[in-house]
Amino acid sequence: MLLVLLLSPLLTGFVRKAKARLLRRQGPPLLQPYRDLIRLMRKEVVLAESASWLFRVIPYIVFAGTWVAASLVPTFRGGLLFSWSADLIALIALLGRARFFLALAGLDVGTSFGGIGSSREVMIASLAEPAMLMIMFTLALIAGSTQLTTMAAYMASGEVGLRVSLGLALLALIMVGIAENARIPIDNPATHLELTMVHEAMVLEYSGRHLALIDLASELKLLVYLSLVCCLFTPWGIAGPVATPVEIAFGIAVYIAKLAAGGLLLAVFETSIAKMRVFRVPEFLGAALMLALLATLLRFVSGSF
Amino acid sequence: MFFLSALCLVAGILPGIFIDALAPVTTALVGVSMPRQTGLDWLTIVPIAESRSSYNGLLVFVFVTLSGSLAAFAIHRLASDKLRRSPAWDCGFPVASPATQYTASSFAQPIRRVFGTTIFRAREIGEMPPPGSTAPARLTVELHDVIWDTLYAPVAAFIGYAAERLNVLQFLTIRRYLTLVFAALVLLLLVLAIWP
Repeated sequence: MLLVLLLSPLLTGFVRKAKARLLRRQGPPLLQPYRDLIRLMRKEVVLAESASWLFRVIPYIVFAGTWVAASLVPTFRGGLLFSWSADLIALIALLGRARFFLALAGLDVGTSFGGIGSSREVMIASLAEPAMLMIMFTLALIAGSTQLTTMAAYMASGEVGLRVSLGLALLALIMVGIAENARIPIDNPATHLELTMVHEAMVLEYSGRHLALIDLASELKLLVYLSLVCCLFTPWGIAGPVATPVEIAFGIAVYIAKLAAGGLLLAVFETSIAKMRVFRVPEFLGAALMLALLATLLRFVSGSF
Repeated sequence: MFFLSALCLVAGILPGIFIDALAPVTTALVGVSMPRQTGLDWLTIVPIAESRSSYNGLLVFVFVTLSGSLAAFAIHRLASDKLRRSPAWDCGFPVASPATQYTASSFAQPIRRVFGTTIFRAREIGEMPPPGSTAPARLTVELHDVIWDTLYAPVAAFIGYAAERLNVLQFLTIRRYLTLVFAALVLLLLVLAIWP
């Protein structure tokens, strides 16, 4: 649990550095997100006069939900503490719950920017959630279970083979992950222009320690999606539930390497594509949904696929 | 209303009790029911087998609450807990009138725009007056509720039509009413005679 908490700002720093280097800039140092978080934590919270108690509580709710979701993914070792208490569906539900509360926070203060963020966010959610569920359905059908540890173990064993539906599900999961994490081409994490904001618009009124918690939660969410891709599609090196310290250390090292590779690919993708218009996002997510549906159909139609 | 939402929360945290309470319903409908859920450790629910999936709402709820409280406690102790009220930032926009707030329909506008063409058969109709006429051009958006138009509206139309035709029964003469009574009596006696 502590590992994901400590690694997530590093991942964001790595992605930013990689993007800057690809654009021939120096970029901020790798540990800059940690410094940002510490700086924000120490600052005074400036609260709008029209904000309610819910506005102050929501950062903690969002952070707690995302942190618990991040600890459920078998990152370096299967059978983490209490990983049997929630499966993949519950994980998606936890992230959806965090998103719901964030949308509420955007509407709470009554500014139009918060409304923009929340309405666009629920539009993206209404398209990304079904796609995510179809992807999960495909993977659960192939692995025969929705328990993340069992799925990772199944994918690591030799029984899987090359399957077309796995490839389609991977592509769909990457598209949905980009949408949910508010990355280019869906949303720009570094902008505050009204035309292009979704996530940043919802959290525009937050400051100080609340903003630090929300930033940490969004970094954790990126980690969750990258870890999901890693544990479900590249599960080599994950130690089993009963493992020696050497295997655990190896698992951690492999996990960090996988995260670095994933972050690098994300940076390359973000620098090579422009942000889409907001109302072209449904086409993007519709394509993800179609891919996931196709993966499920192929699974049913032909047993070997 | 709070009672119902609290009940929803309890149903999520302790799902085993609700699943077992619904078991008689499923047995009556399908013949089988889910295995008993309340006796498992830690109040987990296991629909089929432990390796397939298991879920423990109470533990997840406890974890979320614990991590949230831990974060709040740690931050308030180790970092700052200062707070200051001020007007909303709103990216520097000065007007804070209720007209700029998002209402329910504006909140749903992106979803309406995305799904309107398919689900609501939304169509934009533009009427341009011929050149020379001073009438204004109009742009209207038409939305049809497809389920209402295909399922409910025909039933209502049929009932209206039947009622119109049957209304003639209200304007008969006394002789015709007595004929109707006589015919009903004959019919009932026939049914009684033929009934085995």
